[in-house]
Amino acid sequence: MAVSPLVLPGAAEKGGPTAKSKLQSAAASSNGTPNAAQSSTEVNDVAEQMNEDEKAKYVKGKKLGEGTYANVYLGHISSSPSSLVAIKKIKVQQQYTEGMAPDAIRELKFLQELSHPNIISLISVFSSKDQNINLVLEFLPMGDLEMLIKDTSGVRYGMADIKAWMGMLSRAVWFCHENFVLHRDIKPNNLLIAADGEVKLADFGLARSFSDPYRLMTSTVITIWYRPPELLFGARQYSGAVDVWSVGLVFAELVIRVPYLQGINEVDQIAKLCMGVGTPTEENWPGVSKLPDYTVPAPPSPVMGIDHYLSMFGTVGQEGVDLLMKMLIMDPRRRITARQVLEHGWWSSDPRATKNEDLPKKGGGESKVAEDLGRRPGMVDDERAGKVARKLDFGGMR
Amino acid sequence: MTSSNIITEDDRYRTSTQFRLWSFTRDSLNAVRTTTNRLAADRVREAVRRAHEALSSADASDADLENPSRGVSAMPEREIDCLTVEEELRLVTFYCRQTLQLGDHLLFPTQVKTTAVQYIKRFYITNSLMTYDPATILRTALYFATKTENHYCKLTKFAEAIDKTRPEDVLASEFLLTQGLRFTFDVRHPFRALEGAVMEMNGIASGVIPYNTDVGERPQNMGRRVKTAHGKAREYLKTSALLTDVYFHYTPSQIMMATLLIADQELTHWYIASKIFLDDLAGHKILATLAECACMLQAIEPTVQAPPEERKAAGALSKKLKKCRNPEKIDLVALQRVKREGDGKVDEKIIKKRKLEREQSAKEGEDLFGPSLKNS
Amino acid sequence: MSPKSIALVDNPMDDMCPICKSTRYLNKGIKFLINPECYHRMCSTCVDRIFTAGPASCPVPLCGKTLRKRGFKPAFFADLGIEREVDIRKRVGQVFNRRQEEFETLLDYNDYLQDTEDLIFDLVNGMAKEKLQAEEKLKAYRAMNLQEIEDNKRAGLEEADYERRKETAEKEAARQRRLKLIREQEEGKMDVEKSRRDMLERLANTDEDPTAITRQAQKVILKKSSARRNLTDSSSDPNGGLPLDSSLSIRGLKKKVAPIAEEAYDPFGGINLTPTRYVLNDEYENEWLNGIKTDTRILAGGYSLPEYYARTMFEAFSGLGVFINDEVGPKAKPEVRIKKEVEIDDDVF
Repeated sequence: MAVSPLVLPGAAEKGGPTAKSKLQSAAASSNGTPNAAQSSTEVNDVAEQMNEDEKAKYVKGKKLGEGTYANVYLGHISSSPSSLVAIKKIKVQQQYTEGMAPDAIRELKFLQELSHPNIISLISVFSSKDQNINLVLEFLPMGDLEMLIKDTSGVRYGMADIKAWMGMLSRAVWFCHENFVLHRDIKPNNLLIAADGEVKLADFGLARSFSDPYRLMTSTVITIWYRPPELLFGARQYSGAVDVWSVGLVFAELVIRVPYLQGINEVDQIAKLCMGVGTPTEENWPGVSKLPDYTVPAPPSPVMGIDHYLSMFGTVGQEGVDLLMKMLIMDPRRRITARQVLEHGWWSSDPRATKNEDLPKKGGGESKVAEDLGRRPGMVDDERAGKVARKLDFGGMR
Repeated sequence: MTSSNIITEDDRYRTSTQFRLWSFTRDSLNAVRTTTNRLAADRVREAVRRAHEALSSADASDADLENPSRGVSAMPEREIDCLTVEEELRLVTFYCRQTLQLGDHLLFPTQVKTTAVQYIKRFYITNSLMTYDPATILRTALYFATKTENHYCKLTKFAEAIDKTRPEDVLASEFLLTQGLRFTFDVRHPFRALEGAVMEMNGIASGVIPYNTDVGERPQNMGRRVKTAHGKAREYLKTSALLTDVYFHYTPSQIMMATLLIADQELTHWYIASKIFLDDLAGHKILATLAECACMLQAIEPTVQAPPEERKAAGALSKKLKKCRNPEKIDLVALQRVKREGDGKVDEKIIKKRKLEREQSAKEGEDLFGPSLKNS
Repeated sequence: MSPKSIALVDNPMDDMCPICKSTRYLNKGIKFLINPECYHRMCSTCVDRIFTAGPASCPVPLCGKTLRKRGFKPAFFADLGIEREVDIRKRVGQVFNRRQEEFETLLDYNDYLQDTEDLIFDLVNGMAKEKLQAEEKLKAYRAMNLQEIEDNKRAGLEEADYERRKETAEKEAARQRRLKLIREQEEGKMDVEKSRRDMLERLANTDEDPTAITRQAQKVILKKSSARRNLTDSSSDPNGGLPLDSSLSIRGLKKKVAPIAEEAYDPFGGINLTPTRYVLNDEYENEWLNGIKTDTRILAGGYSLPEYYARTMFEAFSGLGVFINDEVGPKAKPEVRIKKEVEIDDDVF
């Protein structure tokens, strides 16, 4: 094999008889600028035609909002004006010199494959003439779980409602894991609410499929408040347990209505974790000290017992507290798996989970849809911006 | 308790884009390729005619002779001998081999190389080699696969590692590639499937995993045979499975089982029989399908390097391709720049000017413009 | 023969039986009947004569339809074309009796109505072939939707019953209003009487100015009656124009949905992904993986070999029984998302 095996016929062809430059210059001089008209006059490729066909199925309506990563439009199916969709137009990132952005690639790759009632559905994809990619997504007009959690004066809910929301979230995560996909960014504002009350997991901009043995992954994923200790300690080989930890923290937040562990940076996040859950040590987590970035504040605090959880999260009952504690087990090998979450006794204990139609709602409206879909995966909005792992560094992403 | 709906392994495969968008019968695949080829050939002839018209009009005005150019001159004045569907297919195979070798050269993992090859094969179902240069597309496909398969490699480094490649060459056709892939980036490979089957067979061989004794005792020397079969099957998966059309006509599980059949028929038969009742219609059908798939796999030798005669034929076809390239699609970098400029990056004035020119040319009822190659 | 529109024209033929040729002139009490099998008109005497013994062919030349006496009825419309269409509509309406509530959107309902109209048009105006097809469709639809048709019929009856009750209630309310009015008038009269008597008494027993007394009395009477009018107006207001039982007046009362026995909550949402072709083990031998099984750092990070095993085994068998040649259409572009198949519609949650 040659040094570079790419000895391709035709690839290296340079120069040639003068006659051809004549031909070429003729074309150029008669025009002066590159011919922009061409694309509009020529026959479409088969691929282009397929794209046009797909595009024709939808009508793009008014802009609902603008984000750094995408613009979101209201749209509907051409043949049925009452069937609304959200069209997320991914901006070509001029400053991104590496081609199509990783967020867009990941989101497309996984949403194209996953079909589940609790995962936002990607209805179609097409490109517009300026080469922007448009994702046709289901229209989820009722905001997200973060809005409900934050609106402590306007929205009241109880254990049955929490159970319903947690059930939908857990199913979504279970389904991802059954399909060998790690979401890696579970948090309340990635849980969107459909008109019928169904909760849908969205934003797959950080998702990836399970890594094969010995292949490394990046540890700088998941917004830090929801990031599990193994990632805070820099583990490069991990499992679905990372998502389960996030689910546990969403659970806790649903109960107390503020994020349970709010660190201001990674070091602080570890400190908060030690206080709120316990200090990870070789005793409660064999091997933890071997993780690359393992450092914990001294002195170690003991692992929180059931009394602590009951006093803080008792509103979800004994069973609920038990499930929460299992999701927040620090050693990822002992942490409950998504499947085991769904097999837990809490679901069958009283009270029964609220039916979707009876769940508390907060009118989100169109602007919220835009915010939800357009905000991410670029940067996160407002005061949370500094605390998230949204700067994607592909270099460290093996 | 509840009416739980078992979703079988097969049903779950049916939800994949590989099944929904990228599975074809032989006839339908051939039909799409034929359409693609015919459209492309028409457009080549059309473009060359335009170019020649432009040339003859330019002769009079005597334009500057120094402007370097490629492609068009190679076109004969009259009849253009375009590639046939079969010829395009043979060339695609050749360039897929090149992709594998380039991937080896860059020390990319199997997952990246194999995905890139499938991207190329998928892309050239609805695009023709005559329109888009395979040498360019293969670099883009390989680079794009590093992104989709989590083995990211900086673009500048990637371009440096390959001869005569600039970053913009790689990026210029990225959009074309993603569109040709219909924005589906997941490729289901049979490699992990092979590991699964082998692990289970090993378990059976060592007596850890119980098996269905209705199908008779397990084969003699099973452990050793599994090991040998594993190696041979893997060779087929890394070569023949990628270069033939099996990904379009069979599922990864079937492809994997077919390579095992090639490697050790008796062993594989026994293993499948211990899993699936084979004496009914569905069972027969599975066996028949695997046999067909094995047959297709064996059409291409399991080597990365092309056999000499194949390389020779590919050389001739490449020469032929050079003479029937669409001259308007050679400089993808320039084309891309033009397209992206519609993005708001370019001055309003220029857009207006272009629009005027377009209208003007429409009025004159002919397209005088040749290829959009300025200097690059 | 297609009956032509003759309704508004005074046609002497209307008074003659086309079979026995008797006319109203000869037989004052003549009654004409039709049979919806063929809509040929004939007098009741002919019907009795021809069909009493049992089914027989229609006596109209070239018709030949077998008719039964039971099927004859007087035509409601003079135009037999309309009579026929109305009968067809009734017949179709009994089968295509869906209600708007059954549709998710108005568009769907309108589409359904359009389809029904198309079918009726074929039955009314279609050529023999179209008619036959339409009949087949009707039959097939009936067979397919027997239960729902029955349900809707019942619902229709209930609705009619409800309408009837509502009408009765409204009539009753009107009657009450009328009675009240009469009572008021009576009272008014009595008031006037009383005032007049008072006035007379005052006139008789005092020496005030008689005209002043009379004027005052008049005023009192007017005031009283207007006060009463206001009183009754306001008292009738809560009930207003509404019937007495206001709960009856809610339009389109939702039919009670039979309470479905609530299934136990299924945390899996009705989806079962248990493998069918293999049993997943917790542990597999694989030399290649020994490096992981012994690496504390990998294990402490939570890397899960069972996840890897699950994936390899799933991929080994997922799609083994999928036959692309049979399942992918000749167009080879399956556009439909499989989503619907995966969604479980009976998920109670």
